[in-house]
Amino acid sequence: MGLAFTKIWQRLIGKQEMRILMVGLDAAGKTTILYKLKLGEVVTTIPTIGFNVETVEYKNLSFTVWDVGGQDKIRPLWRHYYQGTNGLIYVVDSNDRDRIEDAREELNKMLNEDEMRDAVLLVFANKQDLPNAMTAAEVTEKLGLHNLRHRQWFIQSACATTGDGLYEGLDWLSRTLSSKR
Amino acid sequence: MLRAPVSSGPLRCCRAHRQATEKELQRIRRLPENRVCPNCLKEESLGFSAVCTTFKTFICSDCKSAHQSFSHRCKSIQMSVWTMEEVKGLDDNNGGGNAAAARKYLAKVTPKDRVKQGSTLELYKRFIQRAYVDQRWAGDVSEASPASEEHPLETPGEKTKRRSRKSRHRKTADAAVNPESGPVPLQAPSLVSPSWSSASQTDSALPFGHPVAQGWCWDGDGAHDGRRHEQPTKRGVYLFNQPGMQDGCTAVNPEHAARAWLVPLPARTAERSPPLSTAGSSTVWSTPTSKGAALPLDPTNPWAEDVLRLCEKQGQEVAGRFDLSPAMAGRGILLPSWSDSMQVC
Repeated sequence: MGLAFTKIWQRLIGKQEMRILMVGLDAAGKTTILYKLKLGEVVTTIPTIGFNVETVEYKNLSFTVWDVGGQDKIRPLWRHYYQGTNGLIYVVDSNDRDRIEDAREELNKMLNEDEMRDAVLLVFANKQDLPNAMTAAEVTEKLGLHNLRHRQWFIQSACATTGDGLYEGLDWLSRTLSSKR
Repeated sequence: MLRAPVSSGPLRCCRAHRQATEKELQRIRRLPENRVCPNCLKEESLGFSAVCTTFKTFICSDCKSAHQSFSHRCKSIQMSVWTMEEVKGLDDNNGGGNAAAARKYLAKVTPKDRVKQGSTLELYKRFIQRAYVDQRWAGDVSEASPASEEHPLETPGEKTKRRSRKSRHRKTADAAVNPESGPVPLQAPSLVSPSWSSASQTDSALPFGHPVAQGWCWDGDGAHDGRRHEQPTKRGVYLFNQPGMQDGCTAVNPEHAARAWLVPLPARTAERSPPLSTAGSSTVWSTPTSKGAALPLDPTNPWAEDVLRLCEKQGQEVAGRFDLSPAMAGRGILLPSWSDSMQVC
């Protein structure tokens, strides 16, 4: 009884905790996004060895965001972070046309993992401030998002350095994850 | 029992290859020039851990962040997989490394242009944009350019001009030249002097089929070469300084020339003399008193008539008017688009 009451209470005023994994190729802007969300400022980043983890509170959700390094040598480590992930934020450098194919492969590899079957997918088409950046529609197509089955996904164009689009993405994430509960 | 060496063979080979790649990468990384960031001059005694593979530079983490905001590919020494080709590309002999990049992109940068260490990311980004995106300080790769420090604020147009002129000088290998003299056509008041050029000794045929040895020529009826006048498309005024125009014609932005016309200029001094001289069959400007180069006036340019009128007013011979047909253009005396103020045909 007490447990049930606690649950209802938490539901009403408490924050739900969400485990979010943020991955993407190196230099896509994951760490910049994380710290823009957390601190509201742009930090000078160094390549992430291992991971950065921060808790970002937004609306009534508390996102624990795991930002995992994207350098090719350490990508195999991503799978150690899959377990218990509610949402996946996949960050893409919209300006990097050469490696969008790599990005697509890595994404597919990850989504095929059994541990990720329940995770919702938010794609940030980052670096939209660059003149030659692909639009969100282009990124969608190049990543083959339309072919995804049994997956809730959303793509949001973003610019990590100005913060444009980041909260729109989180909005979707919080709405989707709340309704899933 | 026989042990099969087959399975370990390729593996060992692969590992050896990887180690060799790593070793080579470390060697290049530790070269003195690669331990100083080419952008902010930060020094790192053990070598940097990031490489901008787009420009093949070893850079500090601040510059790396700035490069990444332009999607310039950066790789980590430790955390990226490197192939031997990529590593070889970082060697100075293959046009990689900080020294090569500095020659190529930062040849004309002055100390005050440089980003200071510890600046904000915005300042780093601005520097990277200017240096690598706009290539504002780019040097001519094939030439060491210590002298080019004199032109820190050169516009791209001027750069093209200077480069094109340089390239012509290279063709005329023995020409004693001063490639830094800039756009001399501004000495235009003497352009139409009939005492045209000491290099006018020969009367070799111009591309027009018209032996003009000296000065302007006037070709009122355009009869000098019927073939090329079948379909006149453009009329122009040309000032020649002969021989082998095809090789050495210099076109000058008539706007510059005309402007110079309207403003009396001091007499040209010897130091400011035209940079060119006659060498081989190439036509180049010759003596300090020679009067310039071919000056094609685009008749669509509003200045053209003014220049002509001024010529006549000053009692100077007007050199010529030609109908320019496409055939002519094909021979290199084309009317260039005036966005390029200097053309070497």
